[in-house]
Amino acid sequence: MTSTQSNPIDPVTLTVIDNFLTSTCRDMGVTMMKTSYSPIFNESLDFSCVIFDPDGQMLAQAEFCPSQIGTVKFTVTWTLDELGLDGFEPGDVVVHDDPYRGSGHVPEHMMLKPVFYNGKIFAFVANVAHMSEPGAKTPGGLSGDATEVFQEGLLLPPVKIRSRGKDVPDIWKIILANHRTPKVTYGDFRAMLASLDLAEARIIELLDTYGEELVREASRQLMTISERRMRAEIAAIPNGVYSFEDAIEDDGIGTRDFPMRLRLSVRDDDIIADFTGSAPQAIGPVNAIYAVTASAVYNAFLHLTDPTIPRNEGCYRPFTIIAPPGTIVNCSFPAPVAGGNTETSPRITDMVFGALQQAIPDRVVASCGGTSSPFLFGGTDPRTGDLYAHFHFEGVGWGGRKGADGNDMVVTINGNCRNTPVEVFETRYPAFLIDSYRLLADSGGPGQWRGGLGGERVLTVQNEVTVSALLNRMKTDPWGVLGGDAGSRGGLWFRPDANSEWRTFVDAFGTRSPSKFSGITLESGNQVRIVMPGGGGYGSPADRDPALISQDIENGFVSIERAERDYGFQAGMGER
Amino acid sequence: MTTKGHEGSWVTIDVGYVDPQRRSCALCGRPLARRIWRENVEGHMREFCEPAHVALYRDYWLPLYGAGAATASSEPRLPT
Ligand SMILES: [Zn+2]
Repeated sequence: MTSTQSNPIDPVTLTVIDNFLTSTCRDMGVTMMKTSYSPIFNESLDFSCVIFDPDGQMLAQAEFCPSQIGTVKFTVTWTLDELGLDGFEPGDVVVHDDPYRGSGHVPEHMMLKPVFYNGKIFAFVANVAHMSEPGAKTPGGLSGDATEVFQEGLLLPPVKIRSRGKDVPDIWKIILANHRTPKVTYGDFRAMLASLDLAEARIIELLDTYGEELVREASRQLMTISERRMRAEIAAIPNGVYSFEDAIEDDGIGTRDFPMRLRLSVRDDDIIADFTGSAPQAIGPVNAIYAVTASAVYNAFLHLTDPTIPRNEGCYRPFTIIAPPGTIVNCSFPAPVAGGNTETSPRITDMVFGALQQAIPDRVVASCGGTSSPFLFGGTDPRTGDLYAHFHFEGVGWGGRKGADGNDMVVTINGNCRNTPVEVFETRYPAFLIDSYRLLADSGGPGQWRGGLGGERVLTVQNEVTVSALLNRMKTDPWGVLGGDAGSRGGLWFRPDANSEWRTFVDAFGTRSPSKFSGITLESGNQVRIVMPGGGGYGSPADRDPALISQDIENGFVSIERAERDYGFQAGMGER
Repeated sequence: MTTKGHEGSWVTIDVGYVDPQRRSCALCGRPLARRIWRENVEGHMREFCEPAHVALYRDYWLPLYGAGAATASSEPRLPT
């Protein structure tokens, strides 16, 4: 078949090929979920799966972790640029986690495999996944007081973990010797490899069915269609310059805030998201690398636009992200970056909504709770003598939006991850028993459409455990939009036993920050209380339907006192 | 991406493992791996991630911030 550049492929064939590629990415994810060892894979689904062409253009992705889906574009293009296409042979798999080569943060490992067809590379299949143990200075990584990327885990530039279909033992040995939980890493890596093998087989099946030329041309046309549709969505936003400012509160080392400034220009069907004027990079681990900042902007626009636009490279072409090096939104080596991907990323996505509230008031969302609430822990399992490590994260309230209250206790907007069920958490890890896990009344920001509720979890230590934290929104509010009020802030507390008073970690252990620290040892009987922030409200609380306020009171989501104070509610108002 | 109408050229640098070069696009700040677009803008040789960012550097960045406030690699190191 000759070039079909001027011949549009019929929509049915295009749709079949697009769906085949997308469902291949979904099946890659299911493979990882079903075969991995760690709950962060098989319960939380903290991974993403993608297909690229040899030029580094994203052909397809599945609906996994938004922060990774945007970031992996940079991880893959860096890898292809650094190694060159000549560097790949059939059966090779490259592993990579270096943030200063485009990885989101050190725990996120990317594996990439070329798909050869008729002796040439037709595509690359890749997955990126958060390893529960990256070999950082404290168990689970995300050490809240790290001051260099070297403290955040073993840095891997793009290297082959498999060469011509065979494991490269030296690379495996180095990685497994540096992770506290080699068996878990081994199992999770095998799951990632199986996912790549499945994708490779599927793509070859597609090429056998439709032929190389047609699939290549269909991919090109699908990217063009996505770009055209995304540009049409942007063109519907009034031209203008829209600004917004927010901040990351402390960095685990000092107590000052780090302002972030966004100047968002809508120029016909192009967007420039300019972060010039944002704070210089932090000493502590709240810095975002360029790819994370870009990914957070893409994430916002994928929320604001038609979800049926095929998710490929074309979606991203209308965007230019300007992030000056050496700042909190594009830090320079060797600054630590772990929280950039978990904390700064959702803040940036929310800032896009904040900036656009005047331009497209019907589509924006108020701020979400804006923290992944990373709480890391590890120790020795008395049942086996093995070391264990876990990255525990929590949901938050999401912002209210026109026509709906915010989601309650859903993992923050960059994650799309699930929480780990209490039973799995307690069975897998001998560290804690969970005393309570609940929604918190009055935590959602008042508004015509209320912010989603935050929550609370109380843990009792069962066996000595080392904990770290990297939380946010303990000092700054999850803001409302268009007259909506802020959601409640989060918190992190400690007490020696169930009969004592709750204290901050600063009071109890002398940490510099109440929300960001690492390597604190807790003993049996100690308790930890994690409070997750609520979401901001949308529109004036005075405009809320009294029947909804009544319902909130009945459900225990809003107290009568707060209903009276925030909404001017009086008994009988909501009766139908 | 098109290079039509541009005066610059693509340069490929070595990836140094002993002395890694850390460079970024003069417009967007994106870190650059090996392939770099180099072009003279208003008397200064600048490095970009793609030719399209030269135009934005001229049309967006310079009028707004001026040449003195370069975002990124204001005076790039020469390729080795
Ligand atoms: Zn650039």
